[in-house]
Amino acid sequence: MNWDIVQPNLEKRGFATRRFATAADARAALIEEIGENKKIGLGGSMSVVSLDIEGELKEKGCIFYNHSACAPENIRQELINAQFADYYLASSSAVSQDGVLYNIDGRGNRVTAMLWGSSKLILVIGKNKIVPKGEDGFERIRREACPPNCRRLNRNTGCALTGKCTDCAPSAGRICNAFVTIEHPAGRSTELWLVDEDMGY
Amino acid sequence: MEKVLQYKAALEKRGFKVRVFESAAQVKETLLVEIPEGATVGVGGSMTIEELGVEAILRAKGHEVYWHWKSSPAERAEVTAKAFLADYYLMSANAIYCDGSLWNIDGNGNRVGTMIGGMGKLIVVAGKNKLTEEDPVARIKRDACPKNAVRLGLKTPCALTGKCTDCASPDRMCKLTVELKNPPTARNMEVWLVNEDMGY
Repeated sequence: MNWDIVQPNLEKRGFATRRFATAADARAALIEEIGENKKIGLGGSMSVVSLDIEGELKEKGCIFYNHSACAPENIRQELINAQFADYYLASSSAVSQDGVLYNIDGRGNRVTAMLWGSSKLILVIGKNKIVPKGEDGFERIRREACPPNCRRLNRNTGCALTGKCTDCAPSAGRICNAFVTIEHPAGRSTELWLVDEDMGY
Repeated sequence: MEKVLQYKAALEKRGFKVRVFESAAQVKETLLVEIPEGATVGVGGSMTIEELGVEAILRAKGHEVYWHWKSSPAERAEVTAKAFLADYYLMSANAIYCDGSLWNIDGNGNRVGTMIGGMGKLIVVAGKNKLTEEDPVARIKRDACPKNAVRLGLKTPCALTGKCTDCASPDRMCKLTVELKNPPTARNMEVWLVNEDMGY
């Protein structure tokens, strides 16, 4: 699966895109884009984690807001700070060949920032997120992303144990509550950084 | 009331907290009691909430009400941010599917974004006209979008003909679709079902 077919479809839908041959190229561009002394919101994206930008950007005076890395009593403020930061970085769990973005979220802070906000949203998306023809975007996510994410988060969900979605109860630690389809960019600054390598889940 | 109670059960099975009302008048009364003195209130663009007529009363009681419909376009970013942070957020749902999920289609994203991630207590007020056994997106695009497009003075095909053509119009408002299968983790929210038609 290749961004060559998908990228023009994303642009036809009004998304601004940039293309990178490698994750390393995207990393370098991100460091340059963000610069110094910026506030950056993170939403638990493994693609963004794999870019490993925190150390270098912190040295340049940047502050990262990540509710899964702060003390429990500070979560609410951390979520607010992330939502209203200068940049919000995430990926997209699936992208269909005709250029639609699919994402599922549990707490919802990540999709909230994708749907609305005044920050500059940059989604760094590896080619592994492109959905095979004939498959629904959410199918891709349930098959490829939910099981490893549930295991990573230590949830007792059906998919963590068996790899298959069992539409489990919230009490099992369910992470699939909000199912979000983005067909056109909402009225907020969004850039899709398309990478010709596999990244994240 | 039977249909409303069926949907209450379906929503509760999916973890939503639900209250049921016979009329919009009862909702209005309850809402004005529920919202404590001094609480700030955000509103997501909603004809249901508009028809409810609580806004003027809340303002008269000294509440700050953040509703971007009632502010200038230049203030939209600030007002929607305040609504996101407000103590209460009021909206409806474009459709509630018979499996107990909430469906919304949005253009700007502030309504669905705040529905999911807002910091206050969310109250979703939905009339029985929102309850559907048919495909919820089809319901929304047939019964809500054309009326909203006309209301907003948009030049979309659905405003002119009443039918969705999945258009490429610059005025297109169907950009974002959200299905809420369960309450977002840790979200303080309630769904108030009303045995009357309300909004679109």
